[in-house]
Amino acid sequence: MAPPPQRERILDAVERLVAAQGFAGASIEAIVKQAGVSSVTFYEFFEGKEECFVAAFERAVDEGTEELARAADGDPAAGGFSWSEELATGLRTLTGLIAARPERARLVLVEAQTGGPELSRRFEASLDRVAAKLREGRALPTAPADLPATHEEATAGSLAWLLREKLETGGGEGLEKLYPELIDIALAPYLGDG
Amino acid sequence: MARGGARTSGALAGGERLPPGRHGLPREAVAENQRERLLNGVVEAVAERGYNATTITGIVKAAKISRRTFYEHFEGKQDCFLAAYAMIEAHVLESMLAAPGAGEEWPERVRARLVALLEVLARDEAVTRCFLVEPLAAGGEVAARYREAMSLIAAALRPEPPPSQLNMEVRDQALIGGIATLIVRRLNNAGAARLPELLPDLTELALAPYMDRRQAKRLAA
Repeated sequence: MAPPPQRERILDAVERLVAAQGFAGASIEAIVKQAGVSSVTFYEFFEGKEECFVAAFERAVDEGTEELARAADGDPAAGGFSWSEELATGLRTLTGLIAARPERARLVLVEAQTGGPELSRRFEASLDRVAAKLREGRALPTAPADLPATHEEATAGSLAWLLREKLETGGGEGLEKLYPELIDIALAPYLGDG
Repeated sequence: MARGGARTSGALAGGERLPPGRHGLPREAVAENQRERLLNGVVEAVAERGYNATTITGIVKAAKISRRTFYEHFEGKQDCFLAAYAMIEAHVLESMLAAPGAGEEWPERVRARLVALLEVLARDEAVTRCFLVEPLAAGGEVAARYREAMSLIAAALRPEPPPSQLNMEVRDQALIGGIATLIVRRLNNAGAARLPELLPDLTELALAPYMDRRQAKRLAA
């Protein structure tokens, strides 16, 4: 079932406004004006601003996650992807998504932490999901047995920082060049020293 | 996120309230004292309520200073917070650079500087929240200053000479992203006093990309 178009328009408006002026600048008045809906319609979908921000964040993360899942399926005839192939494809897809939708990426990677405690919690939960995926690499025979317990949290933080920095300084330019570095940072610790 | 009860002490020196009335101190000394109290006040208020919810009223109340005096020193909240931020940043970096053992060779120096970093951050939760947590919530110019400060911390941990086959700018950012994430999470979950427990993990994070992991592990322990 397709989501209600007015709700989608509101969330699109949030993405544009937040990218341009942050959450602080995205008032309900500005959101409804940008979306071309009435404030009555806004309140049919959302109790207030923060709930609407959370919905915009969740939509971005959910749709991104779906894209990643599709890309990670690989070629079933070839027996699907190994963990490292899956991770490499995931990072490739992620950098592609960020380059294609810089406003949306800004909301998730840069502004989410300015949007109040609930959004901060959700941002942290997304980092935890990335960390969990990375942690699967510990099953590789080349993975060192004594990586610190915090290694994956730190790596998820590193990846988020690098992507955020790219958005902040170049609006997503240069993501292509960053991709091999991201792969190295994510994978190298599990592939042994040799 | 436990914000209540966070107290400022130590890291921002001075700032005791002067006795009221004629204390015979020169004007500059009075102004200096007011400024220090305002810097302590903004740190206390921001750590307690978060940057975005902090008001000038909250700052002057914490500093026990009049609103008018606030505007003699600062243009507004951001201006005042950035002044406090510059002091905290200078203090943290000086502590790292002056750390005992920081004159050693690169791997030992990294460890010594991380010991100093974690010690200074463990000392005062309010100051640490202002340094590492609130800038992200504040966004804009404050977040930009925070990112600059983090680059300086990364630079203090770089191998010398940096390996030529690696893009050091990317490596610096990766390191600081990892360090900041671990520190902020530990701060939120366990409080500032427990930050020094992160030393082996952070040391390994800083050393492992540049050396044999076994060796990094030994040095981190």
